[in-house]
Amino acid sequence: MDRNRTTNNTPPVFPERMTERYRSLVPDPQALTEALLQPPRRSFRVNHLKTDPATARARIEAYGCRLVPVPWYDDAFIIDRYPADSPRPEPLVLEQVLGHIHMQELASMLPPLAIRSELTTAERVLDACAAPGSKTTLMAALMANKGTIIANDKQFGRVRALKFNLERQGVLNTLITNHDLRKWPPDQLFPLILLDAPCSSEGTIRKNPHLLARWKETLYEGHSSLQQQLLLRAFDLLTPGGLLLYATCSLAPEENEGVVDILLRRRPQASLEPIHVDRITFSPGIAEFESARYDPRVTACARVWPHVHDTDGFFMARIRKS
Amino acid sequence: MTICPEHIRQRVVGYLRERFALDPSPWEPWQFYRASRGRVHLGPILTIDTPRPDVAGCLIARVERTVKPSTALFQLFGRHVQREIIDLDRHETQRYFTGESITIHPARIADCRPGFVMLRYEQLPLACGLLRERGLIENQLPRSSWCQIDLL
Repeated sequence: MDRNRTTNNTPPVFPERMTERYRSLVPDPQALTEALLQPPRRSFRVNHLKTDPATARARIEAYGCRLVPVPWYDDAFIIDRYPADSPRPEPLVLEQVLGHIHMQELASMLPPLAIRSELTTAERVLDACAAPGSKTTLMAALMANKGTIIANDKQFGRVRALKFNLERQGVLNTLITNHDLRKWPPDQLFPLILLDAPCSSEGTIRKNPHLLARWKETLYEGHSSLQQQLLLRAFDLLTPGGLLLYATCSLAPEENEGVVDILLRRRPQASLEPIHVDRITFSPGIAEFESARYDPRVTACARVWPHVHDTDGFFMARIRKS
Repeated sequence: MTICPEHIRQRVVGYLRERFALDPSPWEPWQFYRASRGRVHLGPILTIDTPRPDVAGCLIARVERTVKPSTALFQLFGRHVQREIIDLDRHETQRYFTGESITIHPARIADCRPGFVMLRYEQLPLACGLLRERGLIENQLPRSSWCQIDLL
């Protein structure tokens, strides 16, 4: 077993309909299913609010860990190998406990990076579905703890994890709210919003193989309906000229391009912008899936495929309000 | 959560200055908030009224009969602390994070007065501890932070 990958004991079996869907999504569906069966790589990012990459890297390598830099993000590393005499397969590192580093799947670092230039000058940001806070804390680091992030999550139980992560990482520029975004006061507008919407999490099968056993195509319908409501509401909370980043960790077009398509139909002020993160190339959004035909502009969205990037699957759309 | 009354803010700032020689300038840009059970948070300027924020920034102290600095405060601003610092070794650090109280040789705490202290390991601010008589450091970590650190 490759030591840089976590293990799981669930026998992975892809439902036939799932693989059939993948045949409509990618030219090489077998590569996708094989990548989804690979346990995830362990990765972390350095928290600039507490330390710097050179210091963190030197300390962790001194423990005997072998680190591999991530080509598209200088603050991120893959733990290729832990010391052979580690007492546990995934030993706990002091720097984790002190919040100097944050263990985070690489793809989930991308949404804040996709709005990086806006974050560096942002005074007010809404993180609409913030818990457990991996993206919130990265946004706070990119903002150098300046400005204000309203970190909202509807689920009270998840807010606890959010608080814990913010405190551990020394995030001061955050106000936590526990509110249903769909009922957010219409007069509270934001120039920048991140909506990392609740989803089927299909892109995280590598980490959560149990999702395969629970998979049903009807799952997408329920998620899609909620995502549409959240996206429309989030868009309405943008100031004119404001920017909304919509993201999910789903591979399903129903939860991604399909949701963005509804927004484009219902909100003529909405337009899509290309997504750029240095040194990484994204796959375009999908305009046709089985019998569905979406607004062709959805090709400006970005897809992160597990078999292309060796990460979880992710979807992002940069939406501007005119 | 409400804006912290000025007299409580002054009490926290005064205590940290007197005991730890901690200059208040690092937190001047921030707002002090008061939450339940005497908790004082340091966070951004309040920019929304509704929905009412539940939590702002980080817990920095608890103010009841005395002021108790938080572990988050030391981990964030510990490099500015100038006194009441105790350096732990590797084994002591591991034990402290499992929730144990530890006893260290009195010679190592000659400069410290009984009361809250900042614990450090290899120059890294770790946590708040409560120094008692005869070198006993009572563990102040919240139970949710107890863990077994393997690599340090």
